Amino acid sequence: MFYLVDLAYLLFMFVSLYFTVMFFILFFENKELIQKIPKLVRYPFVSIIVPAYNEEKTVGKTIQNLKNLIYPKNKLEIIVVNDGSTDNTGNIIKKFKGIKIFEKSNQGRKAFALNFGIKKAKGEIITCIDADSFPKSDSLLKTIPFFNDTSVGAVTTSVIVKEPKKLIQKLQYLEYVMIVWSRKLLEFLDGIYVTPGTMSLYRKSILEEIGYFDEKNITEDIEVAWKILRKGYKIRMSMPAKVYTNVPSSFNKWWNQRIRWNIGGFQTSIKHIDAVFKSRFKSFGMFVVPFFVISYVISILGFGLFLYILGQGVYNYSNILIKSFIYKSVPVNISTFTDFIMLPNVFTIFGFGIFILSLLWVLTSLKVTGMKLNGLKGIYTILIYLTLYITIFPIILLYSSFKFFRGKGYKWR
Amino acid sequence: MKNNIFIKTTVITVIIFILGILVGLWLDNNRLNEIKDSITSMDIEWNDARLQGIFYQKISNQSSSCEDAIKSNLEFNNRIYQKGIEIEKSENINKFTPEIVYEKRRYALLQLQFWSNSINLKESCNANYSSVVYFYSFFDESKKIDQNIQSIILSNLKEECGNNMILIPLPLDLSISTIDFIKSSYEINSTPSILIDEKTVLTGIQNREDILKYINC
Repeated sequence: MFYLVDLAYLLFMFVSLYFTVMFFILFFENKELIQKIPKLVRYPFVSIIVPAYNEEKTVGKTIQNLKNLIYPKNKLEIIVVNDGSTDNTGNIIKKFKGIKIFEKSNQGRKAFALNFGIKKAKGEIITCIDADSFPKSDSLLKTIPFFNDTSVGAVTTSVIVKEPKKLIQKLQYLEYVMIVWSRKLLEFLDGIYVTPGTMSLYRKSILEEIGYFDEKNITEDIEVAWKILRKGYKIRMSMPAKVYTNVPSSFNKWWNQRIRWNIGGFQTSIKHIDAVFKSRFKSFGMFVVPFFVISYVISILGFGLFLYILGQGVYNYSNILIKSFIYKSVPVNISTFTDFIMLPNVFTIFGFGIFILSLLWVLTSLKVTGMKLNGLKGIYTILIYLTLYITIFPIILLYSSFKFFRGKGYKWR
Repeated sequence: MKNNIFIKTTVITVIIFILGILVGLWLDNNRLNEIKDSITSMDIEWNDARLQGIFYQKISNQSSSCEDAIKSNLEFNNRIYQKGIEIEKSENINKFTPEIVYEKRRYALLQLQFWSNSINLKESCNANYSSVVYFYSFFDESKKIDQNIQSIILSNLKEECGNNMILIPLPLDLSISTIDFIKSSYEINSTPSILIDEKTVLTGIQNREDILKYINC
């Protein structure tokens, strides 16, 4: 028999299938372009901005990595903005020579520090890097050539999780691999919707044109990308340019980080919702904003269905168990065990199909990006990722929307 | 180029989706056809068993004809009971074949004929098995859990009692006038209910011990 919940399930499956197919088509049609970098024709002046707030554990290594970047030294400046740190960050950065250090009081959000640094910078290209990110020495050489195209407003890099040890870090490692790959594929639709703070490069003139980073937004790296796209500029991604970053090592830190990402996403979506399906904003209006909104809806719909099916099963079987106890019966038909026989139908076909496609998606991501998750532990990580890890996302989304709509806001730190 | 991607994605997704639905339909129809075939074959078996009983009574001696008729009746009960479980499983799984309800009605009619034959055999041959008719609701979702429990208790009891008990599950709400008549005759107003040996009506979930008070297991 067919019910409303069945229709909702089929809708969820259709949309999930649509985006999976879209990514596979993008991959097969652009295979040769994924690792490609344009030819470097000139060395524009590059200013690197590192906002640092209580980053004593990592800032030294980050600066050392920046000093090791292969790029003409007379075309490069490193600006560290000590954003009111109360730990040893200030003393550590002072030990480095050849960098510009600016002190400012903390105003609660990273965007303040970034804008502060950008206004002090003299570069044609601004590179924003988190104080716990470690770019490879060739990452500028592999990103700057994308600015040959004057319509390119920003270039982003492959963000890789540095030395994942705990399970939660390995899961994030896998997640980042897939983010890297799908972000590159979105480039072919002019749909890169975030320029991560780990390492992204911007044309300074465009940052000035769009009014810099939004100081009210807690995910300024999403918001700035949306403003760039909205103005009709392109965002490109350099797959071979790699930057390593630390990720949360505990569930609590991870949870808080994701809430911040979600709330920032809501802030950005609401700010730009007027662009949805407006063709004058090109792919931004026709793809990026709808894609974002649909992903929220489909995530909550999927989770709702999951809860409904799970809840119904738990309710039914717990009732059967309780009543079996009351009526002194065993809870199963001992002659047939019919409750344990699974027959395939349209739902199981789609469910199984989507799972297999997701698995293929993960394996292809690993292959294309050249990343590895070896051995039995790698298989466990992939399975936990596909079954448990991504199931938590809608919970975070719901909790974040609750926090966001309660109007309590969220602090960067 | 970009529009091209969306068009290609839509076409491929729709094709895959339709293929998925078609496979689902094919599986549902296969199950339905299997049920149809087995109900048809049971219908033939039933007519054969019934005619066999009539001819036995006409041409054989009374005691051996009764023995054979009871035996074939009990064998038929076991087969029809197993088929009922298969139909029930398919009812829950199939999404595209509402005509499974018609098969359920055909099945219920077969059960009624079997029950009627069992009553006749009890009268004419003094058969000593107990007949347990289990009434349940096909459409009422709120009854599912109670009915599930009752059906498990009865199935396990049937397993325990073997040929000393015949179990006849009948859906109350499939618009079958014979069932409506039985319903009003025995004043069966809610499900799950059990009618034992055409005399005792038990309403609500009954545990094994309660039922055993009325049957010879």
